[in-house]
Amino acid sequence: MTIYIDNEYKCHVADDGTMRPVETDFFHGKCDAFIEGYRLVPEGESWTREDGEVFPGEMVAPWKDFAELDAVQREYERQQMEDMREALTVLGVNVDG
Amino acid sequence: MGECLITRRGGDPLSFKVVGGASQPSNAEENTIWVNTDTPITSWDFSASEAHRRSGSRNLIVYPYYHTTRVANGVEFTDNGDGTITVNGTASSGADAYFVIAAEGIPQKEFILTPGTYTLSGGVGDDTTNKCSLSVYTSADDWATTSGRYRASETPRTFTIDQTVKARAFIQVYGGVTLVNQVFKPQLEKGSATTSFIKGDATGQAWIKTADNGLRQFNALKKNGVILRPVSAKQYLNGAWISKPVKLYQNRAWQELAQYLYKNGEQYTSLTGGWGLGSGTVSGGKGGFAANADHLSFTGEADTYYGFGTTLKAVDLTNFSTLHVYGDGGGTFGVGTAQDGNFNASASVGSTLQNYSVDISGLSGSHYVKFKIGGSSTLRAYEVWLE
Repeated sequence: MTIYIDNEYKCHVADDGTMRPVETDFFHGKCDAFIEGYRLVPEGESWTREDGEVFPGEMVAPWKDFAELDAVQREYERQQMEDMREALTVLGVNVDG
Repeated sequence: MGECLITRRGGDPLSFKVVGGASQPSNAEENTIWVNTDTPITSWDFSASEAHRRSGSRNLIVYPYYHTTRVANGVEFTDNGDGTITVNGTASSGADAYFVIAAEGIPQKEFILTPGTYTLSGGVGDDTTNKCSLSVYTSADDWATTSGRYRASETPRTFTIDQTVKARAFIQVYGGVTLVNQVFKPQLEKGSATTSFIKGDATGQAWIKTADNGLRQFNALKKNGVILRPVSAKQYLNGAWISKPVKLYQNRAWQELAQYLYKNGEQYTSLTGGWGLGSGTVSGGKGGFAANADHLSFTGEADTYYGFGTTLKAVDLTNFSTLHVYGDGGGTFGVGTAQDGNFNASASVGSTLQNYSVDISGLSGSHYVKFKIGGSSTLRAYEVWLE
């Protein structure tokens, strides 16, 4: 899938005109809020953390608290499941069995 | 050089000296910590009064509190011993009654908050009508000014701070107000959610204020009954905090203080459970694993299959910010919550034998440290460690 990174290597799902596209399968099945809590450093490039630690690419790591991202992703998956069950119900499929 | 005191569980002090410089000091005393700095450090001024505690539990408010059971301005505050405080009485008119949970300017009692979102809960009533509150105040400049004031009634309060601050906490009953058997459950949690009350403790990180106007963080690790163990140090240099290696002179030898998960054949089994193949599969294969004399090797399976290896026990990443691998070959390493090929944070190992790192500062709690190798590639790991 294609995501976009800004000049701090933070991930975005849409380009605001200042970003560049990156192909990755790391975020397969993840919701937008989860993706936008991550930093992706492409291969051949490096990112320097505030404390001076240098991370060469490729690296994918959360810059937001992962516990928050995980909670958002779980809610997204719960909603996806609910939507699917509703769709099956509309089609007359017994989803409780 | 300076001296420092960090408290173990139960208050038993662990004292050590800290020295700086580009070369390893000779004739060191026992329990001396050497920080490998670019320039010698000559003016560090550590003292027992500058060691800070932080709760190691989900509740970040340090317990025991500054005050114990007390009567103030006609109000009785009872420390119930389980982290809750029962309040009874009428505050004298014109004077508020306070129960101090964490005190300003008393390093062993105030606590440190790093940038992030927090939720304060456990107050009672509505502070508009009941006129009492549970408060956390913060300061980024040693209490010259207060940077944040956060109050919770029975409704929790979520707030975000963008720099490291010292924090104090207290219960306040306004003058003339009467409370009857009101129970406060002071709780400060990371994030925006409120969960069930749990008593805080004093087993978390120690922060040390130094004379050169900076805070040094000594990460904490729970192991073998010793609660506080410095594993990394930071030096404030040219306007930024720089990570520095730390060594401790103990048993007449300089010991690495990074938390190793593998090094020179040692698998650190008590922490990792050993190393091996994952229990699940990715694209069908598990690949190969070998524990050699001085390195671990992981191989992928031919064609399209992946191989993956992992610690056999989950490792607590709390208080660590970086996972390092010294190795070569080709593949991915990182951390995840299951023994499979999925990562919550990952980075690549290339063909050059060197240190590869991944940022894990956004992660905490139990994770497996893992490797994933594609095709028929091989990845060799000579050292794996956390800082």
